[in-house]
Amino acid sequence: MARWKQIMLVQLAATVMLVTACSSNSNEGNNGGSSTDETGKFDPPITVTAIRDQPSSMAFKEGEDFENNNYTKAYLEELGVKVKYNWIVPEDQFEAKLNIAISSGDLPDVFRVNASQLKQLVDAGMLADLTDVYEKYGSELTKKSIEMGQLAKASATFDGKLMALPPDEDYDGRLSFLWVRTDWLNKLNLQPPKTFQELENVMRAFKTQDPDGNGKADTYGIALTKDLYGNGVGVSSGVFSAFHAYPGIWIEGADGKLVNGSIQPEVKAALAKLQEWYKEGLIDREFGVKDSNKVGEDFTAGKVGVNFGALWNSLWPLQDSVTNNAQADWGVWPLVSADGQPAKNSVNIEFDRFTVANKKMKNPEALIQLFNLDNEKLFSGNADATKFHSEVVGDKTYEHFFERVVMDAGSNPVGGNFGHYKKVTAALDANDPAGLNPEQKGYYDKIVSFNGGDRAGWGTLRVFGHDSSYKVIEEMYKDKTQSLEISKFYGAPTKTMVEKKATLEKMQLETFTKIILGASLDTFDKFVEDWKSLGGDQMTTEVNDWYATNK
Amino acid sequence: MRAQLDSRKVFQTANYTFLIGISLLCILPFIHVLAISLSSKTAAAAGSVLFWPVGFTFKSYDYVLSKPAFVDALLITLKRVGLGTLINMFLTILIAYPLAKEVRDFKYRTAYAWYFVLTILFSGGLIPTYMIVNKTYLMDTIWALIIPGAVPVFNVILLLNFFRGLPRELEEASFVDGAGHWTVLWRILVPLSAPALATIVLFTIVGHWNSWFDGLIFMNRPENYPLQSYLQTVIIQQDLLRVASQSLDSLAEVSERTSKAAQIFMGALPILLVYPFLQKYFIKGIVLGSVKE
Repeated sequence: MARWKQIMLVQLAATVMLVTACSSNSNEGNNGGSSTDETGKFDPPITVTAIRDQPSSMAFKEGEDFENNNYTKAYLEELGVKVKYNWIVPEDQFEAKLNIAISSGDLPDVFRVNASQLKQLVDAGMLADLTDVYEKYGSELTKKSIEMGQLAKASATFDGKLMALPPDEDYDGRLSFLWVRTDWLNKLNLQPPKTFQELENVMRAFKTQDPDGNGKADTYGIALTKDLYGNGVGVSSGVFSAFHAYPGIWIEGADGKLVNGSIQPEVKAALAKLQEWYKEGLIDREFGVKDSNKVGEDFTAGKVGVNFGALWNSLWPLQDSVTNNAQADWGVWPLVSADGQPAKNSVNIEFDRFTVANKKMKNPEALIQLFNLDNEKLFSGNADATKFHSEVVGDKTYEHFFERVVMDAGSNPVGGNFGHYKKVTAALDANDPAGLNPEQKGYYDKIVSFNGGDRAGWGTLRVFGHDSSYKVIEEMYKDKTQSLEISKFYGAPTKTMVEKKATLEKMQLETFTKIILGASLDTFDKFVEDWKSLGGDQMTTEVNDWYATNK
Repeated sequence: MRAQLDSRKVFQTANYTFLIGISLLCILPFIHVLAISLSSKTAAAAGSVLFWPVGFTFKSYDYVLSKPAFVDALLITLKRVGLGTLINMFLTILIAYPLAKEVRDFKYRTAYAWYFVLTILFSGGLIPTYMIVNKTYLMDTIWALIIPGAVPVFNVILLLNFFRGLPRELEEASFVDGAGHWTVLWRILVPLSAPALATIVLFTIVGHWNSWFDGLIFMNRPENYPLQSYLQTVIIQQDLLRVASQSLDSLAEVSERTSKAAQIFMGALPILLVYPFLQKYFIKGIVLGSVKE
């Protein structure tokens, strides 16, 4: 049922687009007569309509809401812009609701779209061209934050015209790390694994030498979820990377043409290794039905001590294991390689959040000005963090930055989470939190409280502290060519991708799972054939056409 | 004779085992959710809770009941079930009555019947429905959840067939005694149709209670969501790959397993309570309503 609804939503979104593109639809909230004076303020004030998703952790101060908060006040006072939200939904419903709004032509002035919606709307001519207003009105910080991500900007540019504010170009969240139970390593007198062979030894020791000391053989070697490479917990990408295989991304072949990483021979070698591990019992017998929540339970119950996962794994799910067990501690290391070549992290850059202006919007420059103001209030010299970033009142944290209208545009011009890591570790060294913004201060406090014995702060320590995932990232970013394999394709989904990609991905996951469970390795060759004939070849051609013009 | 008895015993044993197995399949998930909701957070996070709470506590219920979002959503759903059932039942009865007549009493009966049945076969589709609700300014009001589904045609057909099964003599006698259509409907047919009405009321209540998609589509603010739309947003799995660039703090919410379980259980509880009561009435109603000709 849910699936049927999804299909219907997508189809309708595509077809009704034609109808709405032709129908005339008066857009309330536009004020044609208003213009900006020399200070950039609209007089009389204009109303800009928008839509929003509400993050689950977001809370408002007493008396405030989306249309009445520090940002909306600043918008009105400094820009003469009144923001009105047509609708607000919880985060995960945004896409469905937006598809319906697009299909029924019920669009606000500024809104966020994903890559395929962006392409549809651009093709239907429903978006305002932002090239000129960006050049003319964009502040220094705005331009810095957009220009920092050249690939992202390229993905928002169509025929040389900037049609959207691109999202940040941030690989951090997509990287995989090696997380290992250090208390188990110490107990069994093992060193943190530097090579793939050492990692295998550690896994075997964790399985056979009873690291939790309960006298039962109830541990296994490495965590793996049924999604294999999705969702950031218990992923297999560490194994693929060890064999220099990069399933799911587009890499450059020997002839300079793009090829899909999923069908390369290196993948077969990695699958053979995973199959061997499964046979040996290093992988959970039931991994094929476990999602990240279930694997998280295994961490907490102390059943497994090796995990390939994202930088935030210490905050969840590993934090539960540390809170639950007074000895537990995990360390984080970069991926290891099976041979002399360094293991590269596979980075799938999919730009999927674009902020756009409706073509019918009378003052598209207002979008740029709103974004200017956000940047000024958050990152400039006269930023006011408690008012515009976050504020702690009693035991509650109010994250004001969620109240911005333009939530997902541009990179953080002062460095994002990586910048936080630098600041927090420097403050820890100096033992002085002065100069930290409230967010950084929050991380700092948690780490200090962990050092004081509060184990709830452990997760933050392993992300922003000294021996943390960002420490590993710092090392990795020193030489990106040696540590990252970044997908060479970052455009909007091609025609065949829209039609076939989901099917091919499903086939891939099924085949890989079957092989790990013990199917013959020749199944992989059959998969490659099928992949090519079922649309993969066509996708490759389209991707190379794109590559030829966007190299 | 003996062999027959044996085979009957075998059949019954197999039958009971099978049916008990099916019942367990239905009940065990509920018990599991209940056990998690009554367990301590750490036990739930370690996955050590099966059918019996570990580290018994009412904390998650305390937490959920003090959460305005849950209570508000519950109130909206109660309002929706009350209003919706009333309107649904009224319209169902009003429409079923004329359609239950013979063609000689009501000339265009067939045409009208098809007019209604057509809406079962072909629906307007999601987008047109959305556009109509939008253009009629029903968005974001409780009426957007009630009016589009105000006439449940399937229930009309159920009731219509039940009306037709009642002895025509009753109606004819009432007309002879001077009753009009209105009196016949409300004083003769409706009281006699208790079993059918009970069934339909149950369908309607469950339908209103369980529907979530319309709430998601027609409501413009999360504060106006009915309970099931709200629950859907609580239990859906977060896209974790997005988290890193946003606020890392939200990760702490992922392992709120006990409070999620408490909300799911409390969302199912009222309807679980309604079922046995109406079912009891429903069985009694069938006996009372049987026609003795």
